[in-house]
Amino acid sequence: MAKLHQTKTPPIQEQVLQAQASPSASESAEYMSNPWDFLDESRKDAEEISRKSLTYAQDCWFRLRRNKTSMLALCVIALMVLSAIFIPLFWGYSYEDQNLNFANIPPKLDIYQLDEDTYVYITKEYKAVLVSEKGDLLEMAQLVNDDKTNRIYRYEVGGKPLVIDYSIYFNARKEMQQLEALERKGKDILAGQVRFLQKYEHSWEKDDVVSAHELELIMENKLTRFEVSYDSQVITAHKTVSNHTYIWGSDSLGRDIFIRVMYGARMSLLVGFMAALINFVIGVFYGGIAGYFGGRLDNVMMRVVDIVSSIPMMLYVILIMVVLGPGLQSIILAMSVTYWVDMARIVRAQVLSLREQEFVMAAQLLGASTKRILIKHLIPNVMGPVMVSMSMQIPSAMFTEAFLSFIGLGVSAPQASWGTLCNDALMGLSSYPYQMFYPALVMSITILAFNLFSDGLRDALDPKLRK
Amino acid sequence: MSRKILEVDQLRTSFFTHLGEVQAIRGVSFCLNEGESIGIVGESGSGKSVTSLSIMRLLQHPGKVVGGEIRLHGENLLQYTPQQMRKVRGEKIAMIFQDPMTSMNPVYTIGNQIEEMILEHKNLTKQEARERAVEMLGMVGIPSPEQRLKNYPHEFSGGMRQRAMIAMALSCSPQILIADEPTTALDVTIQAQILRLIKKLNEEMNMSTILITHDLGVVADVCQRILVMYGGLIMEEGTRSQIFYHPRHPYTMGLLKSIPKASDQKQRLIPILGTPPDLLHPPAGCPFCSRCSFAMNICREKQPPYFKDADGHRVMCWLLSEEAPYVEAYEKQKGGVRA
Amino acid sequence: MAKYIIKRILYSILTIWCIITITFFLMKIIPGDPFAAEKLPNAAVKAAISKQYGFDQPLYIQYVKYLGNFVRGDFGISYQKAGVTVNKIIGDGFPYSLTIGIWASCLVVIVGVSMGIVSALRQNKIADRLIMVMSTLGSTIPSFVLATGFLYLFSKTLGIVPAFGVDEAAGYIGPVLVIGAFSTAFITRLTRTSILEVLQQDYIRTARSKGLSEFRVIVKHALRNALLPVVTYVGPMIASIVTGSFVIEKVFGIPGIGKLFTESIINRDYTMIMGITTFFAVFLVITVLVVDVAYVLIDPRIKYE
Repeated sequence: MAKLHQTKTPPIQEQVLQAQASPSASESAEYMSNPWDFLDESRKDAEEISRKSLTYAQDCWFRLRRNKTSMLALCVIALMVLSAIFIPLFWGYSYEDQNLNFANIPPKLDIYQLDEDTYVYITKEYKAVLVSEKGDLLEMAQLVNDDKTNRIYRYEVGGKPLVIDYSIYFNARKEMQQLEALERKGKDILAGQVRFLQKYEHSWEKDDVVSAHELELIMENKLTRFEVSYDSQVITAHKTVSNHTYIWGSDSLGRDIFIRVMYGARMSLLVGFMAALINFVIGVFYGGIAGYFGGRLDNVMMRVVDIVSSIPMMLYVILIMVVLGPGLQSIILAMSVTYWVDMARIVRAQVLSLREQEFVMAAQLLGASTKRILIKHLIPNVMGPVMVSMSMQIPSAMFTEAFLSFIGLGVSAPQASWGTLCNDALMGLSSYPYQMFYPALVMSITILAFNLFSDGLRDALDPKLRK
Repeated sequence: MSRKILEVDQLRTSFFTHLGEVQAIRGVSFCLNEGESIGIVGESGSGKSVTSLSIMRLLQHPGKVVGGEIRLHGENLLQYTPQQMRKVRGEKIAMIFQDPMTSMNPVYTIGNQIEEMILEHKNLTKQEARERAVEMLGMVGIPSPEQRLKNYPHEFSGGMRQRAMIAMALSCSPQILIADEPTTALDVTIQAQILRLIKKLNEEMNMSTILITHDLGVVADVCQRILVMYGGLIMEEGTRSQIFYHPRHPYTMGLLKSIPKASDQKQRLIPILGTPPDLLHPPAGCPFCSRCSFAMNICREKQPPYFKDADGHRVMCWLLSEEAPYVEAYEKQKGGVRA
Repeated sequence: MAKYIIKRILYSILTIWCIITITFFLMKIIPGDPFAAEKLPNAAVKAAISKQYGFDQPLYIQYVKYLGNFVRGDFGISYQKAGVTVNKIIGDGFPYSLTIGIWASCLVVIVGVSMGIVSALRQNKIADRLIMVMSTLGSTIPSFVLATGFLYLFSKTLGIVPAFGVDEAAGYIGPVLVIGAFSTAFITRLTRTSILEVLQQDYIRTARSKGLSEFRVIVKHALRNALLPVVTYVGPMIASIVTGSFVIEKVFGIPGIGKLFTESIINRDYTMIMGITTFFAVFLVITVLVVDVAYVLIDPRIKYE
C-alpha cells in the first residue's frame, strides 16, 4: 500500500506546541497535551450537545404554545368561559329582569338637556326617559297626553311641558306611500310636488323626475325623526353618552342585553361542551370496540355508521327537537344521538391501525393484559386526533344550537341563548340593530376562537409536521 | 482518462427548521466522469439523498443550498435560472426515486407520464412520443409494452413500476442518471433484476450513474467508485476494490462488518453501536468520533482533513496522520475486513 | 364497476328505508293528539277525521300504508292546510329552494376551489393570509347573522336589493351569497390543505425531476389529485346548503321549502314535517349517491370489488 500523505495541512503542529508550552484549563489541557491519546469511552458522548428529548405531549404543547393565534384563541375561550360563569353571579340584573319602561334603549344615548341637571332621552317610540348626565336611566317622564291627530306627545318634566312632535317624519312616510302608489301606476314623481322635500335641502330642481327609491333613502337617512321642545323652546340633542344602566342596551321587554348575552354564553358553551363530551364518550366507546375487536363485529358496526352518516343529520336534529320539545336538554340529546358518528369513525380508524403496530404486539408478547394495552398503549395514542375532533365539535355544536334556536327550536323564554337572542332581535332589526349586533359579535368571536384553537391543536398534533 | 461531466464542490445544504439550522450536508466534493458509475453509501440521515436533490435543485422548503458549486460541463447549476434548470432536469440529468409506489402519479396512465416527459424535451409528435415510450418500456423488460402503456400505476407491481420509472427517466437519453435508493422498497429478487438493468443500460447508453443507497451490497455490483457518507460529509472515497478490500476509515470498516456474507456460515455480524450525530449541532470534530472504537482526543476537537493517496483513495480520518499512534486492531482491518 | 354502483344503490335504498322508518316512528311517539289544538266539536267528527288520516288503524298498518304511499310518491295530506296535499306544497316551494341551492353550489365550487388554489400556491403570502382570514370569518359567522347583516347593508342602507322575497332576480343574490358563504369557506380551506398535501407527494417531485414547467406540475399533476377529496365533499356540501336554507329563507322571506319546514314545525303539521324530511333526505341521499358514482369515474384507483 502506498504511503498516505496529508493533502491539506491544518496548523495542528503549532497549536500542539503552544499547548504543550502552556497547559491551561484541565479540559483542553488534556486534549492539548495528548491529542493522539485514545478518547476515554465516557467522554465520547460527554460533551455532545443534544436536543432535549420531549415526550409527545410536551412536544405538542411546545408547538401549540409557539402558535400565537391559538394561544390568543385559548385566552379568549378561557375569558369567555369565566365571564359566562361568574358575571351573572354578581351583575346587577338577572337575565329575566324586565322593565318595560326602559324597553329598547340602545347602548348610546342622544340626550337633551332640559335643566341644569335634568337630561332626557327620547326613544324611537317617542317615549321620554329621564337620564343623568352620566347616562344612568332614572325614570319615565310623566305623560300628559298623546295627541294622535297632530302626532305630538306631551310630557311634563319639573312642572314644565316637554313636547315631542313627530309629525314631519310621520307625514313624510304617509306621503311616501302615496308616491310609491303613484310610481307603481307608471307616473313620474317631480321633486317639486314632494312636500317633505321642502323642509330639506337637496340638489334637485322643481321639475326633476325622482324615483320613489331615492326619496325613501332621503327620508330614512336625512329627515329628523322628531322635534323636541321644552318650555316652548325647541332644543337639540345636547350630547351622546353611553348607556350607564344597560351597557349593551336593553331588549324589547326592557331586559339587559349584556347579561342576556352572558347568560346565553352559558347556554351555548354548555351545549358545546356537553355535546362534545357525550359524542366523545359514545364515539370512543363505539369506535374503540369496533376497532379493537375488528372482524365481523366491526363490519356490522361500521355498516350502521355508514347508514347513520348518510342520513342528513341536521334534519334529524330538527326532528328530534320537534319530538322532545324545545329546551336545553333536548338540544344536547338531539346532537348527541346524531353527531357521534364522525368521532366513532376516527377512533375506529386509529385503533385499527394502532392495533396492528409493533409496539402493541410487543406489549402482547411481554404478557400485558388487554386492559393494560388499551389504557397504556391505545388510548393515549388515540387521544390526539380525538382531541382535535372534539375541539372542532364544540363550535359546530354551538353553531347548531344557534341555528335551532333561530328557527324557534332552542331554549324557551325567558332563558336565552345566542341563537334566541338573534332571533328576538330579528323583528326590530331596522330600528334596533344593536340587539342583534352584540349577541352575534360575541357568538362569532367565540366560535372563531374555538376554530382557531382547534386549527392550532390540529397543527400541533399532526405527526406530519413533527420534525 | 475520461472527461469530468459533473463536479460537486464544497456543497453545503441546510434545513431551516423551527429548532434551528440543520446542516444536512457540510461541504461535500466529488466528481463524476463520463460513462462512470459511482455509488454514494451511508445510513439514513447521512445526507446522501439531500446531495442528489441538491444537484437536481429539487429541495423543498425549508431545505436550501447554502454554499458550494455544482458544475455540469463546467457550468454552475446553482446559478441557472429555473428555466435553464428545467432543461437540465430530465434531459441532461434524470432521476429515479426510492419508492416506486408513490413516485408515479396515480391518476394518469404510465404511457401518459412517459410521453409527457418526451414531449417536454424532444421535438416529437405525440405518435412518435408514444413509439418512443413503447420502445423504452420494451427496453426495461416490460412485456407487451403497447398494452401496458395504457395501465395506471396501481395496476403495476412494485418491480414493474420501478422499471417504468427507469424507462421514463431514460426516455430522453440523459447524460447522468441519479438513482436514489432505487431498490430499497423492492423484494430482494427484484432488486437484483433492477440493479442489473441499471448496469446494463449504463453500459449500453454510455451514461453516467450516481447510485445512492444504504446498502453496500447494492453498489458492489454496479459502481466503479464508491463514496461513503456520514454526518453530512464524505468519509471515504475510493474504487470498488479500495473500499471493499482496503478500507481505511473505521466507519467503512464498520459498514463492511455489518453486511452478511453468503459463503461464511459462522461469521458474526458486528453492528456499529450508537446513533448518528445531531446535525442541528454538528460536532466540532469527526462526526463518527462518538461511535468509533479508535477515537482519539483530537477526533473530538478537530475535523480531520482528507488524507489522499496517488490512486485517488481519500479518507477523512486522523488515524492516517503520520503522528497517529500505531493501532494494531486498526492496521489489521486495513487489509480488508472480509479477508 | 357495475357491481360497485349496484352496491351503492342498494345501500342508498337501505338508507332511505331507515330514514322513512325513523321519521315515521319519531312522529308517532310525539305525545299528545295532533288535533288537540283544533278543539273539535264532538267525538264523531274527531273519529271521522281520524279515519280520514288512517289513525284508527293499528300502527303497523299505518306504517305499511305510509311506505306504500311513499313508493308511489304520495306524502299525504297536510294537517293544517285542510285538503292540500303535501306533494302540492312541496312542489310549490321546492323550485325556489332548488334555484338557490344550484346557484349557491356553483358559487361554492367555483369561488371556493379557485380561492383555495390561489391560497395554496401563494402559501404564507399576503393573498393567502387574506383568503384564510376571509374563510375563517366565513366559517365563523352564523348564516343568519350574515343574512341580516347583508340585508341591513345592501337593502336598508344602500337599497340595492329588495328586502323581502324573490320577485326580482336581485332577490336571489343575498340568499345565494349567504348560503354559499359557509361552504365556500370550507371548500377553500379543504382545497388549500389538499393542494399543500399533494405538493409534498413523491410524484410531484418526480414530475419536477422530469423538467416539467411549474405550471404543468401544478395544473396537471397536483390539481387533479388535490381536487379528488374536494369532490367527495360536494355531496355533504349540498346537504349543508339545503339545510342552511331553512334559516335563510326565513330571513329573506323566500317561500321555499325551508320556510315551509320551519312553519310546519311551529304549526305541528306532522304530515308536512314527515313529508318534507323524507323528501329532503331522499333528495340528499340521491345527490350523495350521484357524487360518489361520479367520483369513481374520476379516480382510477378506486377498486370496484
